[in-house]
Amino acid sequence: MGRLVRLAGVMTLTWASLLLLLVAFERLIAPMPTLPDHLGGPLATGVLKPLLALALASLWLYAWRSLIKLYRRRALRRWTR
Amino acid sequence: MVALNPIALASSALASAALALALTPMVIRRHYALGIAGRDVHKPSAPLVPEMGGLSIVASTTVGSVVVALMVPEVRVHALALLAAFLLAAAIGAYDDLRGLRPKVKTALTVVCCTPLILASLVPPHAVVIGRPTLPLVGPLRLTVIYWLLLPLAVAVPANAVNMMDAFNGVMPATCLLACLSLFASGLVSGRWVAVYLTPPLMGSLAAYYLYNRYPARVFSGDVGSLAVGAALGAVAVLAGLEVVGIVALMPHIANAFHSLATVKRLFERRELNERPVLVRGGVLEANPSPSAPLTLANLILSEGPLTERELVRCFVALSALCSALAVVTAALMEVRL
Repeated sequence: MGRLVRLAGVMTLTWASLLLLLVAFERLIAPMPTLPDHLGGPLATGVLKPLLALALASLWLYAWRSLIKLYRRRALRRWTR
Repeated sequence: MVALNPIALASSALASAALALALTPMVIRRHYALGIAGRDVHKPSAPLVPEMGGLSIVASTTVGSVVVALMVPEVRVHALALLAAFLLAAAIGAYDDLRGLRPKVKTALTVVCCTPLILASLVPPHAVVIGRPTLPLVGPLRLTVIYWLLLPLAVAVPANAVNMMDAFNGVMPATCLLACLSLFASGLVSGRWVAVYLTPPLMGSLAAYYLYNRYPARVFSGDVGSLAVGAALGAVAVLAGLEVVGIVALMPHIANAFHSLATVKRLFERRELNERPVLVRGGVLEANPSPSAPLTLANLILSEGPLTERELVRCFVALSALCSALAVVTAALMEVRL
């Protein structure tokens, strides 16, 4: 039962952080103004926005992976103790 | 606006459930006779179990979807697009079960399964509208380029993720039934009737099939079943505009796939692994503590100590139930703006 509660906590945390990630896309990346023409204009903005979104998503995936690794390390320690 | 037709919902679910109940024993007998069987490696005696039981899911869901298409003209194109994606994935799975496909080829082929959805949205009368997902707490988004770039993954990822989690008795039908239920409930909550109509055939099939696949399994689904069911869940999420809800409902499957792939660092088939994620010791299952063993959800659950297969499956179902509930909350949050 204990393991289920802890795993449910990990899942809920993952879900909440996913929602935060989506809000971050909308609040931080979507409203970015179009770059001036000498910096590439709309074309550069069109490339930059997806790249920033990809970077943010990669950061989230990295955090998720780290959380799972941390859980597993601690779980194995609990089992072998 | 589509009116709710409870008779169509009940008929499609009951037709597919009855057919799955009738067909699965026939598939079991036929596959024993043809020698299409695999070892249940998580049992000490490793018994032979018929594979490709998913054929009964494919046949029964097809009939259920045709019932929906006939009884509800408003979602006819959606139902046919879903059916085409579902049958494409089933064909790929059947070929893999019988002849074997390399992991990269199988994954690449499942990408093609989104074609019917794209065609349904592009071809007149444009009954299917995709590309305008609604995000929870954010609202509708108009993604002109990115959505279409990601769309092939919307069917391929769930198809392969469900396929990767189909390793223990009853896990595939039970967890996918919960995901289906959450899409159905999310459809009701958010007024997306496409999801309400497209899920009952799959729910009926999975519920009936579960009776044969639950512990101790009398039949395995094979890739024909798991790829098709995963593709159908992805297709329903796209067709109903419930993409984020679908991701949340399938979070255990996606976690299982993502963390195993991140450990092994390539696409793989279970049979080609040097280190299995789970070890069988007597009557119980243990996590393989090796850092190079794939970090599957089963490995993660068993990291806290050994469990019987039946207990492990209960953990899978409990986590899926939680994610399905979170998916419905996500659907409710689609109407909320920060």
